[in-house]
Amino acid sequence: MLDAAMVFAVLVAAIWVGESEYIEYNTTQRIVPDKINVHMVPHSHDDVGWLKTVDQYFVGANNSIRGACVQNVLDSVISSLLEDKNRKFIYVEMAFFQRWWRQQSKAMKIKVKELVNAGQLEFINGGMCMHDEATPHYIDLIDQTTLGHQFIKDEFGKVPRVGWQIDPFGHSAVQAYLLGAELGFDSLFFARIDYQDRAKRLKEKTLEVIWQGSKSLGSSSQIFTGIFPRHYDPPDGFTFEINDVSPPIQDDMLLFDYNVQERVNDFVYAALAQANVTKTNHIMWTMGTDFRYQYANSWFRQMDKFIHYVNQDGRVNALYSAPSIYTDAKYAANEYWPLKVDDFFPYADHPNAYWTGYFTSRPGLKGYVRVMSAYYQAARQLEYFKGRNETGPNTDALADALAIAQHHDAVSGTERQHVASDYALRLSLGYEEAERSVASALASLVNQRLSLHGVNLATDFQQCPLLNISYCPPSETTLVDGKSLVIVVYNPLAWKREDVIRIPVSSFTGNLFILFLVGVWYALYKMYSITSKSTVAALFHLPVDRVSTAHVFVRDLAGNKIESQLLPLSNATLTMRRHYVRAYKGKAPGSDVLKYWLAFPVSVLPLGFSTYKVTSCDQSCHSSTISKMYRPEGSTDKSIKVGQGNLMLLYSADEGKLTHYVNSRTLVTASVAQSYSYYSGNDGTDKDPQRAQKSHIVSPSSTKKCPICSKIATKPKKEPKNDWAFFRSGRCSTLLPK
Amino acid sequence: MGDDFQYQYAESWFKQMDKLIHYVNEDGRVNALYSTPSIYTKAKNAANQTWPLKTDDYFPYADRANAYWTGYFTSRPALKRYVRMISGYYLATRQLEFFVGKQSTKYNTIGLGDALGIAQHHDAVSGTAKQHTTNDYAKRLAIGVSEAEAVVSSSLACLTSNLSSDQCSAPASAFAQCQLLNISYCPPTEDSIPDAKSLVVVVYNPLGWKRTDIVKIPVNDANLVVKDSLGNNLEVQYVDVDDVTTNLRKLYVKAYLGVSPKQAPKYWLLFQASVPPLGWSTYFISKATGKGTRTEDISQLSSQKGETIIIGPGNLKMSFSSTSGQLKRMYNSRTGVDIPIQQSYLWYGSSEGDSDPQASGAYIFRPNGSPPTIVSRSVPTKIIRGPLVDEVHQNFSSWIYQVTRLYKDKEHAEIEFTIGPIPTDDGVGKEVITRMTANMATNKEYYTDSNGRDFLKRVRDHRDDWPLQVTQPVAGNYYPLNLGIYTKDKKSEFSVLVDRATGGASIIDGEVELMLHRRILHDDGRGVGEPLDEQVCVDNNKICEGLTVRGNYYISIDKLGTGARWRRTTGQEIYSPFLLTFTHENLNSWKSSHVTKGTIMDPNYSLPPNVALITLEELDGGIVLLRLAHLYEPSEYAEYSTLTKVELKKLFAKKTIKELKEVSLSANQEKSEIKRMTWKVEGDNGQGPQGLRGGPVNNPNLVVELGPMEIRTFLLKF
Repeated sequence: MLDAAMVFAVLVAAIWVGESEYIEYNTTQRIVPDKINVHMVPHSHDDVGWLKTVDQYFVGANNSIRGACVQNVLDSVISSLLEDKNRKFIYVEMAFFQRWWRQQSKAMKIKVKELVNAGQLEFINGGMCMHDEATPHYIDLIDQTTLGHQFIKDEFGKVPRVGWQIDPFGHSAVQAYLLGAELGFDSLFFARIDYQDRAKRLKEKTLEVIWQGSKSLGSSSQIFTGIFPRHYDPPDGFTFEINDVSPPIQDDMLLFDYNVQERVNDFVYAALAQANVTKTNHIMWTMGTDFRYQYANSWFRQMDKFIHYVNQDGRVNALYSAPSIYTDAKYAANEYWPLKVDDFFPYADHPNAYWTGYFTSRPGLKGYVRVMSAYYQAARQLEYFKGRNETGPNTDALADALAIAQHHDAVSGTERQHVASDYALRLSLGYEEAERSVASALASLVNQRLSLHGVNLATDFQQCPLLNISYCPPSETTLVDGKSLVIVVYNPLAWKREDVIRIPVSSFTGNLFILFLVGVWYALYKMYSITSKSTVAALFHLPVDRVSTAHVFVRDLAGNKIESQLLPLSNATLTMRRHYVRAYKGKAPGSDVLKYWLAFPVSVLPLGFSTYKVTSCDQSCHSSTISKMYRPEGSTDKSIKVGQGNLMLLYSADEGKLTHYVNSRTLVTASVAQSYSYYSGNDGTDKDPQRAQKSHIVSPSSTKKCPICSKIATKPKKEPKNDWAFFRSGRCSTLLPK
Repeated sequence: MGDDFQYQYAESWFKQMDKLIHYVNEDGRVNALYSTPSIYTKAKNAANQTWPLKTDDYFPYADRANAYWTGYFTSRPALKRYVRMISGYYLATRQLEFFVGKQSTKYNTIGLGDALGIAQHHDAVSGTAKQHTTNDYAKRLAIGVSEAEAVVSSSLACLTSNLSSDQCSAPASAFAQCQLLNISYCPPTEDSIPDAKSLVVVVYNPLGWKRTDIVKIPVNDANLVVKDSLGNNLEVQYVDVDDVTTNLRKLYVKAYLGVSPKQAPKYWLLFQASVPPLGWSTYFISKATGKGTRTEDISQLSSQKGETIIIGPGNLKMSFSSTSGQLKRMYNSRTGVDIPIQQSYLWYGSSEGDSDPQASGAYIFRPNGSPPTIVSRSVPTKIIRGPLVDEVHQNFSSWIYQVTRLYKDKEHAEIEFTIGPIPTDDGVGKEVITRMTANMATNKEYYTDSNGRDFLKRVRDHRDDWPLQVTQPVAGNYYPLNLGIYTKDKKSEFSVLVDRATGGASIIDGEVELMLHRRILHDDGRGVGEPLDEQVCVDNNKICEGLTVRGNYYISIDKLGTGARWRRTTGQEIYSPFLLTFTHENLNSWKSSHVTKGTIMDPNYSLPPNVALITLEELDGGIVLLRLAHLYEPSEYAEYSTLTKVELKKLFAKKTIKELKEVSLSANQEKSEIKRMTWKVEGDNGQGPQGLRGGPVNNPNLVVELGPMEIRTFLLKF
C-alpha cells in the first residue's frame, strides 16, 4: 500500500504545477539626475465633512451617500507602509488623524512614530483641515493651523514643510505668505486655478512659480508654489482604488491579458506629456484623490509594479516620493522661476462656471462662524485671565469646532445641509462650554471689582447669543421689586472703546412682579461693528425698587446716570425671533411682550469691562427716552434728513430711497442710491449644463437684475441719541444705525 | 458575514465584528462568536437533536410567484454543449495520457482540466454569465483542447506504434482531429487523398465495452474505399451535405478560426467502425481504383408515395405523414412496442414583465402567457435512404432544420436540430422547444436525471415537501436534464436523451418537451444585467447574427422496465463518442510500423455492461487515479441493478498493479479515514435498508465490487 501522505502531496502538486513565481518588486529607486523623475506621491484627499459629516467620514457611516471611511484609509495605509520601507504616504487633515490616533494601541503608536521618523509617513499642511481660502478670517486660519501643528509637534516632534491646499476653489494671497511662508513652509501645492490661466501656464511652462503674496513683506514672503497640470488625481489610467477602472498591471504570464509593456508605455507617455509642461526633470504624480486608499494595498501593489517595470524599462525614472522631496529636487535644480503676485481669485473651471457663489453660500453659517470666531478670541482672553481649567469647562471644544468649520466645504457653504447642520451643532456645543468658561472667568473678575464697591453678586451669568433677533431672556424680564438689571460689558480689543449697545426690554408697565435673584449674562453681537472683533456684555439682576420697563434708566457702576433710548422693535425682528428662537432652542420664545430695544453708550477699557445698571422707575423719574415716530407722509419736505452728528443721510420723501450722503465735518457730499436685487439662478437646462447654480458657482440666468424693493416704507425715528432708518418691503428690511 | 466579492479590505469587516462580539457579549443576552460552518456543524451534531429527513432534490427553484429559475437549464445551449463535448474529450485524453505515461511536460491535460473546472461554475455552464465572460470560458476551453489535442496525437501515435513506449517519445506521425465535425469542417478528410497514400483513421473508444458505431466524415470524393485493419472492404454510404450545414460551416468556421473555410465538402462518408474497449481500430480510406463515382453507395432520395412514409433500416421504424411531413408513429419490430407520436417545434414568447415586472431572462423562464406558438404544421420533408442510415430532413422554418436518423444497428432515433438565428424582429423573445406527444397515459409523472446520474420522479404541479401553489404551470414544471427524461404508461417507456444540459418537462400527459434554444430581449433582474441575446460575429464584429445552435437528442421506445438499459448504455455513448484521428500514410508502411487494432485491456475482457470507467488519469509521480461507477440504481433494470465486479488485473492487462488504495471521491483522503457524523432522523427506526456496496478490494485478486449507483475511487501504483 502506498503511503497516503505521499500520495496526497503528489496530487496537490499535480494541481498546482502551473504556479507562477513570486516576483520581488524593486521599489528602492531614488532620484536619478539625468532622467525624468516621476515623483509618485501617494495621498488621500479626505474632506473634513462635505457630503457626510466629519465623523461619518471617519467611521464609514452613512455610506449610502458615499462609501468613504477614513479609518480604513489610515489602517490600511499604515499596514502597507510597514510592508515595504520604500513606500511613502503623506497625511494632511489632522482632524481625522487625531481621531484615528486616539484609538491606537501603544504598540501601534510606536510603529507609526517609526514610520514618521523614517519619512515614510509625512504630515504636510498639517492643520486640522484643508481650510478654505475665500471665506475664512485669517485669525481662524492661523488658529486651525496652529491646532494641527501643535498636535504634530507634541506627538511626533515634527514640523510640516509643505502647504497642500489641493482642493480649495481659488487661492488667497494670505494663504501664500501667511499660511505658507510665515509658517516656515518651503512650498505650496494646489490644483484649482482659472482654466484660462492654466492653459496659458501649461503652454509657457509656468505652472510652478515663486509666489509673493504679501505687498508688505517683500521677498521674505515668497514661497515656491506648484500648480498641478490638471487636478490632484493621477494621470488617466493610474487610479487603483478597489473599484477603479484603470487596468492593473497584469504580470503573471499564466493569466490572460498580460500587459506589462503596454502599461509601462502608458506610464512613460503620461510622464513625457507632463514633463513637456514642467520645468526641470522632476514631475509630481499625485497618486490619489478623494477618500482613496481605503484599501491601500490596492494602490501600493500597482505602484510597486510600475516602479519596478518602468525602471527596468529605463526611459523615465519612477520613485516613491513626497512633496518635500519634490521641493528639494526643484530647489536643487537651481532654476529661475516666474514671480507670481496677488492671488488666484476668482476661480473658473469652465467658461460658464465661476466658483464665486460660495463666497456667499450659506450666509447664516458664515455669520455664525464669524461670531464664534470672535467669541472664541474673547473667551480665550478671559480663560487666560482666570487661568485655564484643563478638565473643563474650557474653550477646547470651540477651538475644534471652529477649526473644522474652516474646512473648504464648511464655512465655504458647499457642503450638504445635514453636514452644515453638523458644523453648526459642533459650534453650538463648543460655544456652550466656552460660555460657561467665560461666565466663570468674568464672574471672578467682576466680583473682585464689585467687592471694592461693597456689592456682592451672584456668580451665575447668562449670555445672549441670539441678541441679533432680540432674544435675551434676562434682559426681557420685567424689572420690579427693587431689582436692577446689571450689564457687564467686556472689550476684547486692546484699546479703550466707546460704543452703543442694545438690549431688548419688555413692554409691560406698572406691573408688580417679584423677581428672584438671578444672575444673568449675555454676549452682545453688534451687527454694525466693523472695527471691533466683538463686544461682550454681561448682565444680571440686583434687587432694586419697583420699576416698569417702559420707565427704565441706566446708570454706570458709580451711579452716574447714562443717557439711553428706547427703540421700538420692528415686526420683522419679532417675526424672525418667533421662528428662529424656536428653531434654535427647540421651544417657542414665549409671548411677544417685547417692545423696545434699550440702547445706551458704553465705555470700556482695553481688555477690560464696564458695568451698567438698568433700573425701572415710576413715571416721574428721568427715564430713558422713548423714540418718537416721524411720519414723512404728512410732511411737505421733499427729502428726509437722518443723522444728528456730522454724518447725515437724505432720503426721498415720496419713494423712501436713499439719495444723498453728507458729512459736514469732512465736507463730503455724495449722491448715493441703495436697493436690493436678485439674480435668478440658472437651472442648467440651456446648452451648457455647467451653468446650473450650484453652491460653488454663480451663474445668473441673465445679466438682468430684479429689484426687490421698488416702493419703500420709511420710518425714520428722530431722537436726540440715535437716528435709525428702517426700511421694509415684502422681502427685505434694512436697519441703518448711525 | 459576507456577500459577493466582499472583504476586499477585510479589516473593514473584522473591525466591526470585533466590536459586535465585544459589546454583544458584554450585553449578554445572546452569545456572539467567530465561527465556521464546520464548528457550526459540530455544534448542531452535539445538540443530539432529531432532524427531518429530506429526499429527492430542490429543483426547480423559484424566489417569487412568477420567477422560476428554470430558464438557465437551457440558457446558452452552445456553451453547454461545448462544455459537455469537452468533458467527454477530457475523459478520453486522460486515458490516452495514462496509457503512454505522462512523460513529457510539453503537453498535458492540466490546462483543459482547469478550463473545465472553471466552466462548471454556477455562472458559467449555467449560461448566466455576461457575454464577454462566456467568451472567456469558451476561450479557456479552446486553449485547453488545443493542448489536449497534442496529448491525444502523441499518445495515440505512441500507443499504436510498434515500438515500445520509451522509444516512441517523439512520434513520427501526427494525428489531426476535427473539433468542428458537426458543421462538416475537417480539412484532413476533405482534402483529396494523395496517390499511394490512404487517409488513416484511428478510432479510439473510451468506453470499457466493445462498441460498434457509425463514423461519419466529410469528403469531396464519392469514389472511396474503406478498409478495416484486416483489409476487408467495408460497406459505406455517402450522404449529400445539406445546404443548411454548408451555410453554417461558412459562418461558424470563420467565427471559430478567424479565417474563411475552403469550399464546403460534397458528401458525408459513413461507415461502421468496431472498436475494442479502451482500444482503437484503424481504418484506411483510399481512392477506388476504378474511375467514376460509385453511385450505388450514394444515398437515394426517396420519392414519397402513399399517405405514410416509413423509414428505418433496422428494428426501429418511424412513420411520417407524406402530406404534412409530421411524425405519426414509432414502433420497434423486435420488441413490438408501438406508440403513436407527434413531434413539432414551438416557441414560448418570453415575458417582458406585466403587472408583475418579472421578465424572462438568462435565469428565469417566464412565458408571456400565450400558449406556445407552433412553428409549422406542415413541414417540407426530404427522405434519404441507404444501407447504414435512413434520414428524414425537415425544414420546419427558415430557422429550424431537423434531421431524423435511424441507423441500421441502433434501436433509437437520433434527432439533429439546427435552430437559429431565432427571429426577434417582432420584438418578442423566444424560447424554442421540441415537443413530442405520445399517446400514453402517464398520470402526471415523468422522470428526469440528477446531473446525469440518478433519475428522480417528477409529478406535474406537485412538490412532496409543501402544497404547491401553481403560478407558472409551464416554467414551474421544468427540470434540468443532463442525461434525459422519460415517461411511462402501463406497457411502455418513452425516453429522450440529450447531448447537453437542457431544460425539459412534461406539461400534459404523454407529452415531453425540451427547451433547446432561447433568445431573449430583456434582462430578468437577477444580476447578469444583459439580455440573453446571443450573437455570432465575424469581420471584427461588423457582421453579426443571432446564434444558431445545432445538437442532437435521442428517442427510444421500450417495453416497461427495459428502457433503463438503453438510457444508461446510450448515455455513455453520447457522452463518450468515438475519438477520431486522421493522418495520411501509405497503408502498407503504416501496417508494418503500427498496431492497427488493440486495447490496453485483456483482449478477452470487457467491463460489465453496468459499469463505467469514469476516471483514468495519471497523476504526478506515477500515481494513477481510477474511478469506477455502477450505472444503475436498485430496481432500475433487473438484470443490471446488481452487485457487479471489475477485475483490475484484466482491466490493466499490460501493467502490474503494485499498490492500490481506496480513497474518497475527490481522492483527498483514504476511504477508511472518512469519519461520518451520525445524526438522528425523525421517524427513523434504524430499520431502513442500507444501500448495497461492494466489499474491500483484496490484494491478490484485485476485484472491485460495486453496488448499484456506487462510485469507487482508487489510487494505483504500477
